[in-house]
Amino acid sequence: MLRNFLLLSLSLYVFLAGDLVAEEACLMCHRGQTESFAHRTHDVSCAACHGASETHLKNPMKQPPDNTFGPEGTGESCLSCHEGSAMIFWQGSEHEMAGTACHDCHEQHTSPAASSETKAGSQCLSCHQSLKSSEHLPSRHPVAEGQMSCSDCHAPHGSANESLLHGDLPTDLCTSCHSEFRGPFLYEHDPVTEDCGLCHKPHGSVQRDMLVARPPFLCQQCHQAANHPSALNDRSALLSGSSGSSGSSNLMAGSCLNCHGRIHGSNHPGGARLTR
Amino acid sequence: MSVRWSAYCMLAAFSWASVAHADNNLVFEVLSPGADSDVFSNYKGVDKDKIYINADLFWSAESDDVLWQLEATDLGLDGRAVNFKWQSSNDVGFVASYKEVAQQGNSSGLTPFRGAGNLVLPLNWVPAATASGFDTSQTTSGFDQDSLRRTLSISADKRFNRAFKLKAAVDFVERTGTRLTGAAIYSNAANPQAVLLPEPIDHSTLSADITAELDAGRLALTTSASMIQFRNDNAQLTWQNPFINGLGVRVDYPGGIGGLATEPEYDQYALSISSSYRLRPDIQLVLTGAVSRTEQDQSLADYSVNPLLSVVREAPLSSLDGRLETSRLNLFVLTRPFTRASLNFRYRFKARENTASRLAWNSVIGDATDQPDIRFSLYNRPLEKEVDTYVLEGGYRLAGGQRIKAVYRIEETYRNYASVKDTKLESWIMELRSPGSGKMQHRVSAQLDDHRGTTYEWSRSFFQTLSASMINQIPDDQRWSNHPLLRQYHLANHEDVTIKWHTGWQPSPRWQLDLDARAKDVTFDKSELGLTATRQQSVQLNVAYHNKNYQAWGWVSFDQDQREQTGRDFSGGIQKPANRITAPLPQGSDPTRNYDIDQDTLAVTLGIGMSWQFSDQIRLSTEYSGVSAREKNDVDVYGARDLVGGDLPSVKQTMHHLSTTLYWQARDNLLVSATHGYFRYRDDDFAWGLLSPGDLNGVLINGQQNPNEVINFFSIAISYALDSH
Repeated sequence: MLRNFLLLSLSLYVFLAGDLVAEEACLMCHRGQTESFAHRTHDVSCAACHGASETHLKNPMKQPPDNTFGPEGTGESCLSCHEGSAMIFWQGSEHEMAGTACHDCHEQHTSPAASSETKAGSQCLSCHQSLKSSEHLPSRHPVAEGQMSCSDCHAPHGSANESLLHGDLPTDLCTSCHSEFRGPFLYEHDPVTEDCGLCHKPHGSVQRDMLVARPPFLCQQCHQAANHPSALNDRSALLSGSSGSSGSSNLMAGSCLNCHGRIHGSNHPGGARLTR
Repeated sequence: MSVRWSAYCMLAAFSWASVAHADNNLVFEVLSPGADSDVFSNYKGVDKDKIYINADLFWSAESDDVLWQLEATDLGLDGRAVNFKWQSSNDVGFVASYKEVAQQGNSSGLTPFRGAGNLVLPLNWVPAATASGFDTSQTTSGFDQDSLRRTLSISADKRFNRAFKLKAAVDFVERTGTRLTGAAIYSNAANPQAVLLPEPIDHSTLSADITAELDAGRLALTTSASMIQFRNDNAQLTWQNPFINGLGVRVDYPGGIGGLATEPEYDQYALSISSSYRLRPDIQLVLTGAVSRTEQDQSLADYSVNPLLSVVREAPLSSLDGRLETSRLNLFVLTRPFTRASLNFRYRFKARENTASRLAWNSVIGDATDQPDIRFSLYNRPLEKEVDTYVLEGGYRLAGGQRIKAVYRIEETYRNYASVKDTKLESWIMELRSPGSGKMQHRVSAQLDDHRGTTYEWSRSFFQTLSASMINQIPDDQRWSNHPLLRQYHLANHEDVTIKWHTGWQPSPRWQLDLDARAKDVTFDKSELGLTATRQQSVQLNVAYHNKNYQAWGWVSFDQDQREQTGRDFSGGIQKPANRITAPLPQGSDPTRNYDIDQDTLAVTLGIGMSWQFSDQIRLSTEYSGVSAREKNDVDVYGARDLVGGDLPSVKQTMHHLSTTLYWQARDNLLVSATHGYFRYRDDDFAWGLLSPGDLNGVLINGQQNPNEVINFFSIAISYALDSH
């Protein structure tokens, strides 16, 4: 009975108001829907996003609005306003080419859905599920704790860089937080100027400091010099109570970093080997 | 319930939010982790076994003209954050925030060193020739490895009209704490004697930027100017040598002092511009560019901090006067030749210029000798790089909704002072996305990357550290530091094959299953020494179920990383510094001295959770996550008599985390929740486990132990819903 009454009322309203359908007509049924502050203060009406939807208004139970933001919705109605500077890199971006729609991440009827760090992270993981495990690895960035979000490093609306990364050079992004390693140092370490990802896995690792591999083997991927850099580090290099081995400082504790403590670069005139 | 705490429990935040039904909340929480912890408390600021009183406030209000939002979380913890936002209907916005991030490292170690920037030993320190001779009972000071990052940010924006917007932001970040740093006193690398030092951290970064945005129909333009100042309160770290090295009284305890330079202060200025122009409805041009200049002119330390050593020649510079200039240019042509098709061309240019001079530094070796002969000076290498990238990509959407994407990319890189001057990367990417049936979706992509380099010149980077006269004096068969057969992996020829697969299946509206698989295989086809192959595989299965009162989900992930690496042990019997003329190194040409390291890391990660709404007032949420990781390092040798081989012990890491929260909606505006969490973490890394400070002869370590934590944390929280707007 109530449903029929509402349908009758709505049909009558549409008939009388004609094209001048206002928010009230929509809100008669969609009472729970509110607008975000930005949409409301910019007079963004329901029809602005969902279309005039005349057939829906006349037969709301059987005819959908013009734009339902369903599975094939791409967000073109959003882009009619949200174009320009914020979306310079949207066209041709990985998300755009994958058919990602605005409403996959944003809720139009409340504040921007991706506004909080915690929420933004969980939204990304709903598609990028393979990264879910990395949030739990022992060495990782504090995404799970809500101290960082994916968008601190990645630009979901597109970027000039690979993997939607912020930053102009690979190292710029990392040094925007780890600013102490930006340099320039008197003595530079080549991979630090190349790409932090050569030694670190930013999404998490079972190795300390998010390293891609265990030192000294990580270091020996680039350093096989005479004497200790080329030395074999095997079982005999372990601390052994029975054999009396004291353990090799090349393998144990901090490994190469026991001595080469300035691995990100040295500003000491005696720091050519990154020990000063 | 604290938001960040909830975030860690993942489930709780969403459940609580759904029960509270209010935007404005005041939360009081009493919690106790039940034990001291490092791993559990990392980034959460609850490292001590005590009762924490915590509070959160979420408040927002809006009128016709103004929106206010205040979010204050974890006010009782090291990790507190306050965020205030004000937005007006005439497009003026203001945001101010304060945030702390507490990083907690291993705090189980001890150290004999006292002080901050100038570390000294206790007066009754008994020196020895090796660390095993020390009386380690004197290593009584705690060696906490922790830091606190405080960030204060203020930003404002004003949209003057539909076309023009101005934004400005200022951030101040301060980081304080202590970190572990290795440092050595040595005259040559054969017998270094090192210490692990508690190095104080006390630096700050001030950054400011102003951005103007112009949206004028077809043209969108953003310009930005920014500056960054990095300041380090510690210019140098010195420490007293605890060893009697046999290098003489000038170097031995108590007079010998070692010194490290800390990260230098710098100023950076940057300008950037991003623009897009829609030439036609189906053609968009994007042009972006940025330049930055980083200047570093911090006074350089003396050649040695040890006043007892003889230094007769001054350094060529008293400060580096370093300048790093980076530039970037992007030109994209993005087209849609057909409704369903896209064809894009991208060009990228990136450059890093380092204007520092390449000079000879007559360094004092390891704070342990007088200044050596000037012939043994070492040169710095200001590194530069230029990268040109060309990308052609096409996409097509088929009638059935399938999407095909194909990408071809060439990247050419020039480097100075590197073993390979020019490298070239060619990539082919093919991706297919299929919506499948209404219940099933697929996505598969394959990528082939072919990295090629010009002739590998192992000597190029090495020679640049020496003078020409020194190079000419070194016999041909010794003119190398890195072995000629070594290929540094990021410069070496290699082919990468990457395959990704995703299938999503929704058998009913209440069920969702997702399967992700990824495999990457890298072959270093021209490398004999160094990394020769890597393989990474991961598979993840996600399952989720929900109905009106019940939600459950679970996922399991297998991540494997395998690396094959070959080395050649050519110690040659005695130490041969790279810049001194010595006898030939026959071991360097002996393939029986080769060894293989096969590294294999497997991590199995599991997550299970459920949320059950018993009634309108009661909800129970629980989630378990666990990690089991195993690392193996197998070592094989090729016959040299003195090389033993033998696999290293497996390293296992296990983590279990179970968190259960009961919510009681006592009144419409009052939510009470009780949480119990169980956390177990264990690591048996052979590199640190069971080592006491004196166990490594050549290194005075801090004796930190592998973490072995059992945590039972409790929390009771009361959330009071204020008036919602």
